[in-house]
Amino acid sequence: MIKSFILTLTAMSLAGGLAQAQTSAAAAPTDPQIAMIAVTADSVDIDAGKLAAEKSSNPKVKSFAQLMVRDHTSVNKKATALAKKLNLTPEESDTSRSLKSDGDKNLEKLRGLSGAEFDKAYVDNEVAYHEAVIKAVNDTLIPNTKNAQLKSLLESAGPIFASHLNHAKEIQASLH
Amino acid sequence: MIGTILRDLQQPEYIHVLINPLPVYGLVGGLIGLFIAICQRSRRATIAALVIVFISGAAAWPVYHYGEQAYDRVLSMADNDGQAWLAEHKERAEKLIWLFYALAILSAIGLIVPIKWPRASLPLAIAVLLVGVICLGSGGYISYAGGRVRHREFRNESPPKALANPVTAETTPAVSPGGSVAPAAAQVTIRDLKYSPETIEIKKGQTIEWANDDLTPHTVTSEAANKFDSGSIDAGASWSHTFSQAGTFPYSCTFHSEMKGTVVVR
Repeated sequence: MIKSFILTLTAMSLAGGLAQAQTSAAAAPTDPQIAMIAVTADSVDIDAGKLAAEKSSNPKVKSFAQLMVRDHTSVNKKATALAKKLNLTPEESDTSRSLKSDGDKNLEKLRGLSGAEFDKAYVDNEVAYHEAVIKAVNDTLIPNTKNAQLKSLLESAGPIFASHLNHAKEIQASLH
Repeated sequence: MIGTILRDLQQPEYIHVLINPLPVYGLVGGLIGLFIAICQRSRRATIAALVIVFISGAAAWPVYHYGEQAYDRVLSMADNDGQAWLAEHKERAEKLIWLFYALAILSAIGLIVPIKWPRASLPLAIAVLLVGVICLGSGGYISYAGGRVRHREFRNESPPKALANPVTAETTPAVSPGGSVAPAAAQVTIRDLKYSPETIEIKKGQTIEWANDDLTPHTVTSEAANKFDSGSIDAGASWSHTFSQAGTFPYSCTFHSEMKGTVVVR
C-alpha cells in the first residue's frame, strides 16, 4: 500500500517534470532540446517496459510492456535518424534531465515490487506517464518546434501515444 | 516447449508436412504387406494390409486440406522458383488426389465385400495392389514438386513455369524501406495507426502491398485463422501478399488491435 502510494507520487512527479516544460514560458525549449526531451521520454518508457516484460507474469501486462519497448524503440530510431539528417544535436535541458532522473527513481521503486503489486504500479505509472507525455507534446513541444519535419514527427507520435494510453487504461481497469 | 508445439500445430503448413509422408510411405508398407498376403493367400494378413492401405489413402484428405490452407502463407514466404514449384505442386495434387480417395474406397470394399463373398477377396486385393501402385507413382509425382518449394538444394532442374505475378517474399529485402519491389496491383498505406484505404478491392490473383509509413511496426493479420499474416512490418518497410481465393478478408494489427482493415477479392 505504502509502496503504491510512493509510486503514485513518482508518476505524478514524472508528469510534473513534463509539466515544467509546458509552464515555464521563460524557457521555451529549442529544437535540439525538444529532440532530447522526445528521445529521453521514449527511453524512460523503454526501460520501464523492459523491466515489466521481464518481471511481470500477467500476460496482458507483459504483452503491453513488449509493445511499449517495440513502439518506443521504433519512434526513437526515427527521431534519432531525423536529428542526424537535420544535423541537429540533441541538447540536454532541465526537462530532459528531470525526466531521466524521475524515470530512474521509478525503475528503482518498481524493482522493489513483485507480483500483482508490481503490475498495478507499472500500469498506473504508464497511464499517468502517457497522459503527461501527450499533454507535453501537444501543449509545449509541438507549438515550440521550429523545424517542420521534427514537428511532423511529433504530430505522428500523437496517435501512437494515445493508443498506448487507451491500452494502458484498459489493462488498469482489468487489474482493479 | 508444449506451447511451441501447440503453436506449430496451428500452422496448416506444419500439419501438412507432418502428415504428408503417410499417403506415400504408409502406402508402401501397406502394399508390401498386401503383396506378401496375396502370395501366402492369407485372409488375415490381407485384412491387416488393407487396413493400412485404407488409412494411407484416406490420409490424403487431411494432407490435401491443410495443403490448401497453407497455400497463401507458403506462397508469400517462397522465392520466385519456389512459388513456381508451389503452383505446380498444387496443380498436380488437384489433378490426382482423387486416386487416393478411390484407393481408400476400394480397400474398404476389399475389407467388407469378402465377408459375404469370400471368393472376391483375392481379385479385390489384387485390384487394390494395382491401384495402390498407381497412387504411389502419383504421390511421388505430387511430392516431387512439393519438396522443391522450400528446398533449394533439391532443385536440380529449372522450375516448371514461372508465376505470372510473383509474390514478394517477405523474408527477402524486398521488404525495403518505403519502396515496392513486387508488382502490386494495389497499395495500402499504414499511417497514424490506420490502414488507408480501410477497405480495398482486388481481383483474384492480384497482389496488395502494405507500406508502413508510420513510426512503429505493425502487422497485417487476417482475422480468420491461417489466411495471411505479415509478421512485424518495421516502420518504413512494406509487405506484399497475393490473394488466390475470392472472398472478404477482415484483418487487423496484432500489436494495435484498434487497427482494422478489409480485403475484398472478387
